[in-house]
Amino acid sequence: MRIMYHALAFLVVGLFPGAAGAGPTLKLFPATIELSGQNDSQGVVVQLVDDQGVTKDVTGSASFRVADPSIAKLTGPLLSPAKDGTTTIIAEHAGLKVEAPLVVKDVAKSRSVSFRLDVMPVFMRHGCNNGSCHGAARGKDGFMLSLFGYDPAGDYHRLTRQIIGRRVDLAVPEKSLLLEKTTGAVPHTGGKLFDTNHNDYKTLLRWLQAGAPDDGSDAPEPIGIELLPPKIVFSGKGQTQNMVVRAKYSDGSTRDVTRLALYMTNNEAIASIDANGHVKAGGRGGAFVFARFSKFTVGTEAIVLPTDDQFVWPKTPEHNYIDTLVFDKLKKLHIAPSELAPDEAFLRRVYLDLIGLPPTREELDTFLADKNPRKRAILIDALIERPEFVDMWTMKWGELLRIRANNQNPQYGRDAKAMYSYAAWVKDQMAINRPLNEFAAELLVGSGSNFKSPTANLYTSAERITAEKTAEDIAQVFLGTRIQCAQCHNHPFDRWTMDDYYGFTAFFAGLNLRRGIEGREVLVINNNAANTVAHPVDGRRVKPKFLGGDTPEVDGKDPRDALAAWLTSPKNAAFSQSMANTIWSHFFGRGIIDPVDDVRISNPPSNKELLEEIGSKLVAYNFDKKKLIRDICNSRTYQLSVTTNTTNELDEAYFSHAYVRRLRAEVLLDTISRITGTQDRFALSPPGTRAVQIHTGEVTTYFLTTFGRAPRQTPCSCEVNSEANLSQALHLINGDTISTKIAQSRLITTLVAEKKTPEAIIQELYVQALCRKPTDAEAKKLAEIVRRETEPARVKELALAQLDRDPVYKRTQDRLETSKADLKKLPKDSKEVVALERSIATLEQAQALALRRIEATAALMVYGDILWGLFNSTEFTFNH
Amino acid sequence: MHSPITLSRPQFYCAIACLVVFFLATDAMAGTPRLSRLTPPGGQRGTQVEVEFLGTHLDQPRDVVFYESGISVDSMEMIETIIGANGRPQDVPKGTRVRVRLKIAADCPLGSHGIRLRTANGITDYRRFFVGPFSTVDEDEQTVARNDLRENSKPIALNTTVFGRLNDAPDVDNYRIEVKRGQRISAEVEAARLGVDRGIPDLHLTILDAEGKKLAEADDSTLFLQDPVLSIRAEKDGAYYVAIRHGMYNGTGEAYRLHIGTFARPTGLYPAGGQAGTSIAVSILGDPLGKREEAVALGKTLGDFNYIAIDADTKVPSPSPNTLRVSPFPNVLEAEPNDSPEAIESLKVASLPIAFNGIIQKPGDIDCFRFQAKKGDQYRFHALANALASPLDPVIWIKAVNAKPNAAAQRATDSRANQLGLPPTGGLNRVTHDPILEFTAPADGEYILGIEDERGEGGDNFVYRIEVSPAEDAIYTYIAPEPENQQQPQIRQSIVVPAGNRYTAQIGIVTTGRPYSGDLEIVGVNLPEGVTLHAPKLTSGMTRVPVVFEAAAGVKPQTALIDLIVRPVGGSDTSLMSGYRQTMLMNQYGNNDYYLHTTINKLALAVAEPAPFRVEVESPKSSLVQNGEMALKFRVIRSEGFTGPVTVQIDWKPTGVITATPVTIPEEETEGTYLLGAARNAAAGKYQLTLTATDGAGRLGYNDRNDRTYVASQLFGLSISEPHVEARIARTSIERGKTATLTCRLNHLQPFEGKAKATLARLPRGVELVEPMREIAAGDKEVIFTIRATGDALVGNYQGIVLDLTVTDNGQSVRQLSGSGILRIDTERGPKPSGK
Repeated sequence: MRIMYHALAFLVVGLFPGAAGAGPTLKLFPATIELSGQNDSQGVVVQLVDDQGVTKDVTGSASFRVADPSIAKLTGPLLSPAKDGTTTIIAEHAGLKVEAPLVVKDVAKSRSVSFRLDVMPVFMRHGCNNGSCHGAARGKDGFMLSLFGYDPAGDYHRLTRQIIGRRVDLAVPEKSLLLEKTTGAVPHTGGKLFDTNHNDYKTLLRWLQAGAPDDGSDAPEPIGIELLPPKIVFSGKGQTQNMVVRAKYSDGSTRDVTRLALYMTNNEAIASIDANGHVKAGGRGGAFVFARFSKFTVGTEAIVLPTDDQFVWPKTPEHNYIDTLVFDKLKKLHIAPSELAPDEAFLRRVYLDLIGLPPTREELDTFLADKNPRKRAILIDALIERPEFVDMWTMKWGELLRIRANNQNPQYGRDAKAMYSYAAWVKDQMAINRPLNEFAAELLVGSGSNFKSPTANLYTSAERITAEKTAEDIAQVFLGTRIQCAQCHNHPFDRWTMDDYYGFTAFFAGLNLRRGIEGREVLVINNNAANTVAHPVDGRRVKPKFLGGDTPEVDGKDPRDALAAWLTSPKNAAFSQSMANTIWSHFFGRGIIDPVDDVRISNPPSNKELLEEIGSKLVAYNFDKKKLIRDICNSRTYQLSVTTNTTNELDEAYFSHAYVRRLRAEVLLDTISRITGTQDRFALSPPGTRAVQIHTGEVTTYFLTTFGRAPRQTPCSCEVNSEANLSQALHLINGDTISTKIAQSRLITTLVAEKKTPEAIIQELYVQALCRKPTDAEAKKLAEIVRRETEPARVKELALAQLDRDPVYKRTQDRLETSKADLKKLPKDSKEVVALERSIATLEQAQALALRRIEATAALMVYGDILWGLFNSTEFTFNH
Repeated sequence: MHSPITLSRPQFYCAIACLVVFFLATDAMAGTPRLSRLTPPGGQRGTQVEVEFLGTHLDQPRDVVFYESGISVDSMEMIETIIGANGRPQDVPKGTRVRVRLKIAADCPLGSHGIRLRTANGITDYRRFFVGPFSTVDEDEQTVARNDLRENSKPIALNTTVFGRLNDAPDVDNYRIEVKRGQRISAEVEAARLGVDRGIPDLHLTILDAEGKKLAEADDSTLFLQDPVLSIRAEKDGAYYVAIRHGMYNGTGEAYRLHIGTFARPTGLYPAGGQAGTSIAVSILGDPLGKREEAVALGKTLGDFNYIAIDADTKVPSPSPNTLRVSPFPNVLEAEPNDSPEAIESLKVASLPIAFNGIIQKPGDIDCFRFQAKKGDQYRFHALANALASPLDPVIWIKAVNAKPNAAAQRATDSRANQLGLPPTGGLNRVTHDPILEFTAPADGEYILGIEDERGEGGDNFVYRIEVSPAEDAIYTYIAPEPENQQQPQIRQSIVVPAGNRYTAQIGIVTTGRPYSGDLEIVGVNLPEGVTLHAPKLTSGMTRVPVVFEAAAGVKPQTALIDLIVRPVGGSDTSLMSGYRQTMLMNQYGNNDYYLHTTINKLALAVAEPAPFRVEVESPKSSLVQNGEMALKFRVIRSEGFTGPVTVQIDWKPTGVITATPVTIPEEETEGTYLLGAARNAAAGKYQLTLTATDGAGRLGYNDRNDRTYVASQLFGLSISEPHVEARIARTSIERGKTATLTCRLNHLQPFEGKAKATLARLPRGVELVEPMREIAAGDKEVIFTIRATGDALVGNYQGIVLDLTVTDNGQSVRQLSGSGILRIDTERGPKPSGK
């Protein structure tokens, strides 16, 4: 009992070092408050954090006071200014106390209503400028607003100048359509949004009464927002938390925009959030809630622990830093990891992941017999150096870079010949284990002939070369970021604005294709004098600007040099984390951010610390992917079993157990081919090419297409489809791939020829296909079936049934019978008799041979059926 | 589930009947001979080679035409049977194979030789035959042994040419040679160069050592594009292997000639040319045994000079030549440092015309030269690199010596096909990557000429030669492509004129410089006796005319390589450079382009045996008026026994002239009319046209394989003139169920005889003339029609009513349309008619 107590105490200390021994604390948000101008106000929330880290919203039950009540007034948790000065706000709850400094200034000043700061947020908040309403490309019902407010000047113009006296009626502001529509006084397709008592109504009216002014050029702009509190840990379903959103402006001021922000969650079932920013706990797990205001989106993590949780962290060894970080997260979520996977499961998993092939019988036996405690690490090192490892990563990059020929339009440079040299180059880079940053940098500055300089093909992968498409693809492949939305409007769920988009696009503005010296050759040439693009809103020339970074000096130079240096710099965490995450996802079937090419604020990592760490490890390893892969494969996290426990059975994101993944199409086909000892033939490939080695996207087979081989038409990671569906099942059952391969295989004939016992053969088939021996029950049952099906009488029966369906045999049989009948009719001494007798003898010989042959195959049929059954098992088609 | 195609009994008979007609038709008329390939496609000089000519309609072969000297025909015969795969004789389709025994002279120039075969009915496509220095062996993979692996390589003597074939996409052919340490191992492929109509002859070459280690590989070469070459030095005695395969394992069974041996295979020569009649010291580049220099005596003939490198020790020649240029002016060689205008301060100043020579030695290298020019001097700077098979993609620029450093320079990156005198083609031409800068000196003084690589590349064999010659214009002729050339580039690109008949070719011109002024005439050079050429004058702005070749009756069938030159009418000015050009497209892929082009400058003309029909046109007596039409009468003169249909069309017509679709004269008939129309914008003037007649019915399709015999009418004059009468039709309105009048005011532009018949055309639905035809006389100022609108007329404005006038001119009736009237149709007013 005593020991138990100590152990628990130790665990708690280990769990929450920050809170250790401190007991529950009270936290007030925002931690500093500033009120400026007489109309300003600020709401606060108070959170009780217990020593387990569990939070509780106590804003409702806490008592508030301002130290100097003459400076600010309190209405519940809402502060408003009284006179200029500095004081503190104090909140108390259950004997705990917390303070926050409070500054009040410019009380005498009244800020006039601003179009951008006050009116535009109303449009956003009520969805007026979203894509299905007035934000549509052509507006709605004759009135258009820029989508999510990317063009305030345009919105101002349309509102006040497009139909003078209607939308905005300055003579009788209340009769402006702007108000009458929103309050439902006149018919409005979007319905009634609010009534005349609503704050937003008052804001609009005040603006109209002021003469609907436009903002001056010195109007402050929002530069960021914060969503508070920054962390929520609910201790059970149904608990709630109020949020506060504060915007920061370019003039240094802040403002409470809780009422104007939009809210969303990435997992409704775990943490929902309503239109007023109230978060409510659902089932156990982790989620993020987000607030969006102006062009910013921020998130807060919300963890929901089970009610009355009696969680005890099991003592689990950590192999390396990955385990530390994964387990840290699991501890916070009160999830226990699974056990370590057994040797057989690990062996199959690591073979399929690293080299795309199952272990051979010898490899399995050697590994199982090995008593070295480091045998797993030794095996990982050996597999990473295998040539098949190079093939796997060549294929992965082939998908990301879209290596795929299209000979219909040779003028765009994507001829099969160019793709051949491109694929060969990528393979060379993988073979020499080129650091990923150098690999990416060399690609980015690719120029010249698509035949002679393979890297130039980076710019021929789109249907035709445009700066926009190129920028989008490169952001997606190398930074994992989808900036497409920002081409036409500021990204609704991320930080990217149109300025960011066109700034990044400008890096590729000078790129052009010229025709080479033969029809299939094109030259990628950059015009260094043309590296700006026109901003579609106002037509100004936008210079190259790094995505979320600086504006480099590139006049008269190829801006891609600067881009390559910035993008692949060790300081660019976006690149290293995106690369690390891509590698990670290969081994777990999902990224820490998933999908790996959709990094955005509203799609946060499931384990931020882990992502940051593997990103910086990749940098520290000088972008040597092999080293990171070695870390991943050696981690206990990777080697965990698929078998779950009660705490982690629902986990799909925190890597508490191994996830069951269907084998990729190529790996599945190669595995079947390997086991059956058959060879596939693919177009544009030399004999002996494995499916993983196919160099180009358009070469495929029915099997590969059905199992989701990437057609390489987009840079999206979603192209590789590893879902299981009905047509796959039907193809495995009825399709010709497996049955033909089993029929062609020499595996079973060899085993039978070696006079192995049925048990031995069944065991061999299991080991080959599933990397394990059959269980006793399986072995016993199958051996029974084999014995029954290989009895001479049964074989004969099967053979006859087979012969009955054989047209050649039947035809010969008919001829034989006719000949025999003819023989009877002929006079004994005629010349024909000899010939006919000879012919009958030949036919009988042929029939006997055919019978023997068919009997031989019939005896083997049962083993073929067993192998077929194994191939059709989910245990085979999945990696686990 | 596919259902089998079943024919009902009547359909079945019909199908049989059609087949019979088809066979009869092809039997009655042998078509244009087509040559698809030669096998073997090359041979050793100084030997006799039996070559099979494969194609269609090759019956009755008569002779072989050679574009270059050195090959003659020893004997020629049709092949009726071949030994099939089962070892037994097997019939070949009629007219598809001819066996020709070629005698190749010992001094025959190495490289490609253009060849055509003439039959009784015409002349085939142009194909190339390659003459090499080495004895040839067959790969024999099909009949003797596989050579797919290094282990079963076919042993080959050094300096041998293998004639082989890649059987299927993944086939690899391996050859083994034995060499001594320090010897070259060279290999050169001829595959794409052989020119197949379709296919992917893009092969890959590898040299491996005795252990199978890859020593060198090549997919392409700058010398021959898709045909790779390799040359390395053997580091030890023993066996080496040469493997050849498809570049991407995607072929369809291509034939190749592979030269393997110790020959020198230069990848470049420097300088790449010199002054005519001089001897120059040439550095031979790309030899693994090291650079060496050789004195080369250039001939007097200007233009390309084929140089064959011969190994100094073994006297083994290269299998195919490198190109040198012979110019009328001297050379200047680059002297480093010349990387910037400042660096060449001390250099000698060159006087034009001249040829500057150099090598862009390293990536980013720029070479500069200094020259002087007088204000107004016009020169053409042509930077040759691609034309010399150099890997350089040149850019040249010129600026004044004293110009500011950032002053704009005149710059050229490419040339246009017409600047090179090449006819427009559907494809891409490598030589257009060699820039031409037309330079007019803005002032007296010194200038800097700079050259660099457009992609910023460079290397030891990035040779260039900038030929600077006085600007002068040249005009070249070519046969303008017809629609059927899209799929069959060579069809109707030579002249086949049956004895006693005519043939028309549409001749186009390309001018290298400014558009020509003054009238030009087309003249045939080297025409056989009895063959005459009739061509209209080319007046300013025209780029195409029909040219009629006529062979007198009784001229014996023969072949000639002729030239078609253009010269100012009167023939006083002979300075104009001119000649015939034809771009041969080889190895089509996709629908868009060709791997390879080659240009020939002789037009093949064959006098064929008499054709069974002729065509004559009755020259129109009246003129075709704008917005009018006329019927052209023609007659087909049939030889006895020829009864089939004949189709007539006009291939070329002046802008604005509209012709009917081809007119087919049915069997047995001899006369027909061909409708010609003129649009409003047809330019008034006198033109000369011909009618082309072919046997068979209907228009020739894009991919028509029923080859036909073509004959032409004489040239006939067609004058296009203003209309006789111009009408202005007053805008008017009409109510449904009522009548109204429509007034056409007439403006007489040309007199006409007697009375003209007038009516209104293009009236809207439901509107009709009360009196269908009116007559007008020469002096009438207006004509008034009464029209009636029925209940069918649709209410609204209707445009486009025209006056349709038929006048008589020189006894021929000429129809013209004139004016454009607007009629408004109103609904019935007042009470509705009863019954509705």
